[in-house]
Amino acid sequence: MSEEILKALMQLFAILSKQDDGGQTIHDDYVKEFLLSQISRDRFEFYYEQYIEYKNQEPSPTGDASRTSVKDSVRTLSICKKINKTLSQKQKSIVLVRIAEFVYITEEISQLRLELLKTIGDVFKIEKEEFRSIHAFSAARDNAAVLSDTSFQRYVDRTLYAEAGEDCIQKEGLQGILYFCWVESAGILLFRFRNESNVNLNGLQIKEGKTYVVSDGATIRTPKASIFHSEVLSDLRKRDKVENILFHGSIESYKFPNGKVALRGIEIVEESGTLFGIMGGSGAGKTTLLNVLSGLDPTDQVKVTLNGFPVSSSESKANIGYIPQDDLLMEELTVYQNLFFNAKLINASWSKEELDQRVEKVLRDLGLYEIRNIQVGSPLNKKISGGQRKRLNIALELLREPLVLFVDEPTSGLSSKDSENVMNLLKQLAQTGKLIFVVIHQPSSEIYKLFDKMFILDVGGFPVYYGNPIEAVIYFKTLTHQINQEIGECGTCGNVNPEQIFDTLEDKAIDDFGNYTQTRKISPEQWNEFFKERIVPPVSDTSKPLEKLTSVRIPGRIRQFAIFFKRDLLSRLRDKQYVLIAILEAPVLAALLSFIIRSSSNGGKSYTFASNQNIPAYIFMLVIVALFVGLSISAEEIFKDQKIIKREKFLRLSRVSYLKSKFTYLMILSLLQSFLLCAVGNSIIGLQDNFLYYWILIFSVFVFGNVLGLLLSSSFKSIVTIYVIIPLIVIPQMILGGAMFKFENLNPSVGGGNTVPVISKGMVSNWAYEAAMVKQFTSNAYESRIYEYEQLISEYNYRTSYLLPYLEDLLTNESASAASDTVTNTLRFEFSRRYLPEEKKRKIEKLSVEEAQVLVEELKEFYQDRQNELSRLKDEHLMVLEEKLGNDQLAAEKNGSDNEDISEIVQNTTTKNRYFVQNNTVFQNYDFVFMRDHLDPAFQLKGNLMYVPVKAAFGQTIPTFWYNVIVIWLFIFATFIALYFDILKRIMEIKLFKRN
Amino acid sequence: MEKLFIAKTEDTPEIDFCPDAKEMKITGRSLPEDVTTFYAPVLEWLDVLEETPSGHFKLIVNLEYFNTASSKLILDILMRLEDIHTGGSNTIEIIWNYDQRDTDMEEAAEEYSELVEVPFTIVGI
Repeated sequence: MSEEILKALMQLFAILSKQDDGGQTIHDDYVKEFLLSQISRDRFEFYYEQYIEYKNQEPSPTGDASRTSVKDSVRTLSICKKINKTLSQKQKSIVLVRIAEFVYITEEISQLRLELLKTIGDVFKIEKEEFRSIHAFSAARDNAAVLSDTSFQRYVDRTLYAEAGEDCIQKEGLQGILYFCWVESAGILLFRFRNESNVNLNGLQIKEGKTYVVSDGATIRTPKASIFHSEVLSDLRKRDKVENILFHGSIESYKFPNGKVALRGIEIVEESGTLFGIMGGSGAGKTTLLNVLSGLDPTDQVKVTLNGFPVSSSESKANIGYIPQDDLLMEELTVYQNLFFNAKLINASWSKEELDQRVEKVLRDLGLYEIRNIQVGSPLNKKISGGQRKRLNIALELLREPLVLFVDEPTSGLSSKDSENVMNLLKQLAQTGKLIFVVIHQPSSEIYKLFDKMFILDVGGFPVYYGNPIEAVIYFKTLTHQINQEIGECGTCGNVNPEQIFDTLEDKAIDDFGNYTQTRKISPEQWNEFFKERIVPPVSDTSKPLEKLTSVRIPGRIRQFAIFFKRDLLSRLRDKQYVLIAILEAPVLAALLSFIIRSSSNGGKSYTFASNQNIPAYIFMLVIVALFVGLSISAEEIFKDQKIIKREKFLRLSRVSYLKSKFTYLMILSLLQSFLLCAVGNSIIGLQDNFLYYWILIFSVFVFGNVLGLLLSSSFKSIVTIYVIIPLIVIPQMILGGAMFKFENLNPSVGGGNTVPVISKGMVSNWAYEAAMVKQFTSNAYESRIYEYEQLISEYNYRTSYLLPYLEDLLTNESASAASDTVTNTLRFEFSRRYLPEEKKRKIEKLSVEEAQVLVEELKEFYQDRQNELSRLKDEHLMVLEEKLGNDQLAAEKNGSDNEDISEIVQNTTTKNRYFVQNNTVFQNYDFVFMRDHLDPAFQLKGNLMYVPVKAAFGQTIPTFWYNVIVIWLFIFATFIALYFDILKRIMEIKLFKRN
Repeated sequence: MEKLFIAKTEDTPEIDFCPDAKEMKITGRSLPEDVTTFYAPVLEWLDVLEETPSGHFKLIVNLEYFNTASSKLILDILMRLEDIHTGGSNTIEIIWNYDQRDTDMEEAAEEYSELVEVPFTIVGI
């Protein structure tokens, strides 16, 4: 209380006192006592003199002693206005209680004082009904008055109970009446008593006829009975017929998956309106208990019910809230948006208006309304305070209006002021009828006293105490025969020291030399034995009517998807730095890459695309950039939401919808990034053809990177691991992509040689690179005009220049009379192959050398003719084109589109070996990009050659580009499935578990 | 706007609020049985005044005595006038007359004048 307010009160008391009879000494005594309870003795004189001075002011000569002077009336108004500006509603209610007490202190009741009292209540804006009860509470001066006012909560002995009847509560051991008045709006409980002696409030003796404000967690004791703050409130609530909730947790024993017993012999029965604390040393199983009771860890080992419904049922879940120790906030969103999206996900039946109303109500209730439009920010980059963050987390759950709330260490990391605020908030919630379980660690005295019940666990999950918090201190002191056993809290300051409990609990035994040993004086098992002996397990009262629980309708999967998506998008767009980097990263890399490698090998003449030696590398880099950027941009997406996911799982929200929303958001981003990457890169380097194809391909690679990133993000436990693992994924893609190292130069044990090694088939980079190279070669502006001609010429030329001469050589050097297997097999294929005219086809079984030589000669002639014919046709075709388009145009096309290095690679023209022998058959080793033999069913190296122009699947031929794009999307699909089932995470968990 | 007139009795003052003269007069003694009911028409009249911009109004108080309950209602009236004055629909001026011998009333008027921000003149007669 400030000095200013104290002065104001002195004036008020003086004005009240001097009415009618001009004041009595009993008034002065009251003021003295009041002052001494507020300030020290040396300041006492100062204020008391002020009181006397005001009281003795001379009235105006025109005044009438039988009326309140106008000066006093207006003065009262002005003092109350001043008080209004400084005191909270609760403090004002307490002032009013004191004034009412003051008015009723005299034998005779003065009407003028009463009138002043009413006016003060009026100016203080105390509700009518509450004013009435505060007034009546002071006015009741005999048993009859107390017993007849049903708005009080009265505890009486047996004889009085018989007189007063049902409205009172009979309490064994009482001699008189203890009566209470609950001032709802201020949240204060008033207490007086009659006909009792030796009454203690929190261990301090109190006087009959005075009004006391009973603080949270307080205990009142008479010689033979005791009553707790929470008890009175819960009795009051029952009278108000607030529908009851009954929580019953019965844990015989609960084991961890590894078989260790975590909790044992725990029986908890609680009703609405209780703030229930769970304490214990570290590792005692507090959080485990909370998780089991809340149904967060579903298990069959325990029986937990809420109003008869199992805790895992949807009815219970809809009414249970869980607030973990960590934040559940979307850091980029505002306070309001956090609540709004959460509310949308909770209940599908709320309309937009209702949502807004609910969010606003919660914001106001929790004192967050002022900061509703502030971005939440991360714990390191604080925009709102720690206390506000915690309250926002509580708000998230309150939106659901749960009946039971589980809170894990709400004060950890908060300043003592914030801690107290948060706990006061929880206390208020409990007082409105909720049942709140709180795991609390090292509470201050103030916080400790807020609890209505305390449950203490010892190491190994042994329950060692269950009951009133202040009694706990006494309980442990008594068991260990300490001094001051009967005193739970400090007599002068009212402090309780919960540390005492743990000091007692974990007291170490001392050896003969006076040193502390590692063993405890009393083991957890022994404490548990005491517990079983002395603490009566609660019994659930099944006679009471219980509130019927209803489950809520959560939004359907599509709506969830839409909400998740919007939430993600909003939260992303708010992070300007992220948006900028996400959009600029791809084009900047593309510009850098294409600018640096934009060079011609044509001896300093002007740049042409055709002569740029770096084009294959450029294409490969596009793929790698897409993979890398796609991977890194998604790698923390799920990770950062892990806690939110856990909570949403608790709310029974769909994981598919969540993943799809992430995926969709990333796809849109990738669509943009791939467009920018290809558009910028291709235009700088002068790649004009097939833009759409590049976009589709690079987009597909981006998306693969995204999904893979999501998979990592949901599988690993730390963000560092995720980023460390990225190179482990990207670098093999580079090595085995087929661009940096030729397959024929790879270590033979990897496979490869002339074909694509199996391991490379697992590389998206290889599929993408091949698709781009083939597309670029076959469909560029120049090559596409002559591709068909060149394809056939290549086919004939291979045979006339390489295959058949080689076979001739083999036959010439043949020592045996029969042709070798190699020759026979090769010729068998050659004479049956799809592209040989029907009349030429022949069945070949076994051949002599001579026969074979005849056949080779026959083929050679046939292909030579064909080749000459085709070359002629090609020349004619080119001449026609030249005429039609002009020489310059054609040359420009060639220079602009037909890159020499691409041709060199896809045709493998630099190879020394134009053919190779495998499985006793000769195979072509160049010009795969013109090849069609591999489509023949008899061809033995199916699908294993790189850069073939078309591929076959399920009897269909598909252009390589589309074939490979489809393969990439199959990769994407498979990864998404793995993501959905969290396969990677499970595999790792199994391994870790085995090691344990 | 209509004129508001309530005749004086032993325990209630005369209320004479005249929109034409732009004067609101309260004269006499105020200790009604039920203050809220008695002053309700006055507050209603002031609600109408707030809605109707019509210029400069004077409240002229000639009270001999008022009880505690009335003091609260008078403060409500004064604060209502303050709202009207600061709200800008009309300007208000308060003239508080008292018997020069009645120092209590003088101090009460001074106390009121400190509680509201309206031009406030206290005149001893």
